[in-house]
Amino acid sequence: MSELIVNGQKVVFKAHKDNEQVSIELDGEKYSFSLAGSSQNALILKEGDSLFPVPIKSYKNSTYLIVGGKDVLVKSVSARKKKKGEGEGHMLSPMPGKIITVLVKSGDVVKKGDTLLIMEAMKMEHAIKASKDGKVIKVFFEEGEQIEGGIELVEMEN
Amino acid sequence: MMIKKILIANRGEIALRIISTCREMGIKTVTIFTDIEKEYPHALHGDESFNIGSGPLSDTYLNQAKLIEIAKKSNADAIHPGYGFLSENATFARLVEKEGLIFIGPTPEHMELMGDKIGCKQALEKMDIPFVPGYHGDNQEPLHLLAKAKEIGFPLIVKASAGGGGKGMRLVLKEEEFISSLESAKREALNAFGNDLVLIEKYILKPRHIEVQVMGDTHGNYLHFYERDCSIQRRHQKIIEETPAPHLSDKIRDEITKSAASLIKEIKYRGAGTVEYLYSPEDESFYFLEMNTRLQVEHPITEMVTNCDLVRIQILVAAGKKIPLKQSDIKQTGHSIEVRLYAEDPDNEFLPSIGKVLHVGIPTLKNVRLDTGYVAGNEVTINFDPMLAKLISWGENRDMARKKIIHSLDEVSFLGIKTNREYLKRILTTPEFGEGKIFTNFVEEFKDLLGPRELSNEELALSLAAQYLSKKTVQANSEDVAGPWDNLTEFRNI
Repeated sequence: MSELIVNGQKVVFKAHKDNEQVSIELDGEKYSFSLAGSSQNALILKEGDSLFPVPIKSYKNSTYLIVGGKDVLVKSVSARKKKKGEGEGHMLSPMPGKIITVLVKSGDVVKKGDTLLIMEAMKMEHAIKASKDGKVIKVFFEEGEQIEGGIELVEMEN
Repeated sequence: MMIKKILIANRGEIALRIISTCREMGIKTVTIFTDIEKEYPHALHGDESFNIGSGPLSDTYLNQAKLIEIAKKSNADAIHPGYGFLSENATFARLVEKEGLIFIGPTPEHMELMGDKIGCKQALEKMDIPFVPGYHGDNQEPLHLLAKAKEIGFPLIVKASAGGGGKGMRLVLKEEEFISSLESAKREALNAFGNDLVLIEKYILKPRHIEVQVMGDTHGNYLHFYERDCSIQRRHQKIIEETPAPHLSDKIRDEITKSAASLIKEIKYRGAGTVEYLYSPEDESFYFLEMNTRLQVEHPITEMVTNCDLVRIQILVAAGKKIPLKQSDIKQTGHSIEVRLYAEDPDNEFLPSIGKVLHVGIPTLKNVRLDTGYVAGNEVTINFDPMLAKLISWGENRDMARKKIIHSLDEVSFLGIKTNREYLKRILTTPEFGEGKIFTNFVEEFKDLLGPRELSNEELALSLAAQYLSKKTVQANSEDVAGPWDNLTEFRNI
């Protein structure tokens, strides 16, 4: 069994690849595809007699595709970035923006509500505060860096 | 005297647009770019380019002194401001002319006239330009307001003058309801804003935003290039524009375009401009909203149906030449639609997105044009406007133009960042859009039809298969032990 995250949802499936053929077993159904053609930016898959052009690019553990006209994002389950705050001690960025000031470093002890860093997004400043008392294990970004939304900014230990 | 070198005081797609026409005219171009834009196409495709550093816009693209300095250093004759930025800044226009350079745009006086809502209204009312019927006066006596309401006609809206956010607003459908609605609006306004002054405006059901492209020169020629319908907006930002305006009678088209042309003739307007109107389909009436004294983002659709180059005409006019066309030469042929691609996530409150553009894509259908300031490898940041590109189609009729854009949106993928690409397709494929039943509140009203679509199991399987068949794939977490499925060697090659 294999697992991947497709558009934020974990998908469990079986895959078998043989040269330029792949079969996927999903939800009890089997689908077979072959690679009819490829370029730097797209694949053309064939299922039976039907052709499916799939624009596709991979970068930094993510694969971006268009399937059936829809945007698809595939990531491996082990990817560090978590979309929703899973588990404790993870300070996530509320939206894409830029880190303006980092107020803590590895080893600092903080209290719940202390400002850990300040980011700018949508022309406003946002203070990222500690959600509980604890010790800073690692700050993942530096002042001036641009970040996406839902990214872990600071790792804390209880 | 013809202009020989133009400094383009802008960035992204509009800078490239201007370079394109300059190439055709044999005019040299100078472009500017900030540190993070070193590898953006607009930094690389002019004849000369200057790095304007980094920091807030006031230090870079809005830095008037720096722009003048660069124009002089590069020996440019003229400055084209594009749209946004300094394009409607009278101070800058004056500075440019004072420094002996040509500003490709209207006069500072006309920028000021059209930028001042009250002054503009006073000037235009004298010219018989229609405004949305309303009463904004000081006399708040209920019977006086009722008399005004009867003049305006029903339905109408009573609005708190101090207000916003929908508070102190009442829609009044019939004369009989007026007094009670007025009292209710005033009570709410007093509560919310501490002030119960109200204004009254005619209510337009399913209004449309229709604008007219105009152009004037210094030889007494004042022309219009027909209308554009920009009704599909989100939070007052245009996302889809088209021309001709669907379901607009020839009679009204004639009236609205003549109204715009006579306006610029009356004020002796020089350069490109757009007169914007609110159109009420119910009674075929239109009302002046505002005039934009610059070239607009959506100008390409006008170019596609009239077969004109508006940037070229802007440059000729700025060089003191006549517009090389008569009104009777300008005709609308076929239909053109433009969609604006934005770096935003429509399925997450339209929050802006950032990231590296991995692939842009090229439209392959005939008469489809992509105006974009990005190429693969460029980083999209929050420093600039989130518009990535404009995709424009032309077809013999509206439905063909519509189908072309829908197909082209799958070719212009902008892989690597979240965009409104798919959201635009959802709008274009609604039956209502297909029938041309558009109005300014379209996306709010049909919100439920415009949400994300689930991938079918087959599409999901296809996405997974693509992972395995592409050279650079994401690692799947598979169990170490090979199961019977992994050992399967015989399976059908279909």
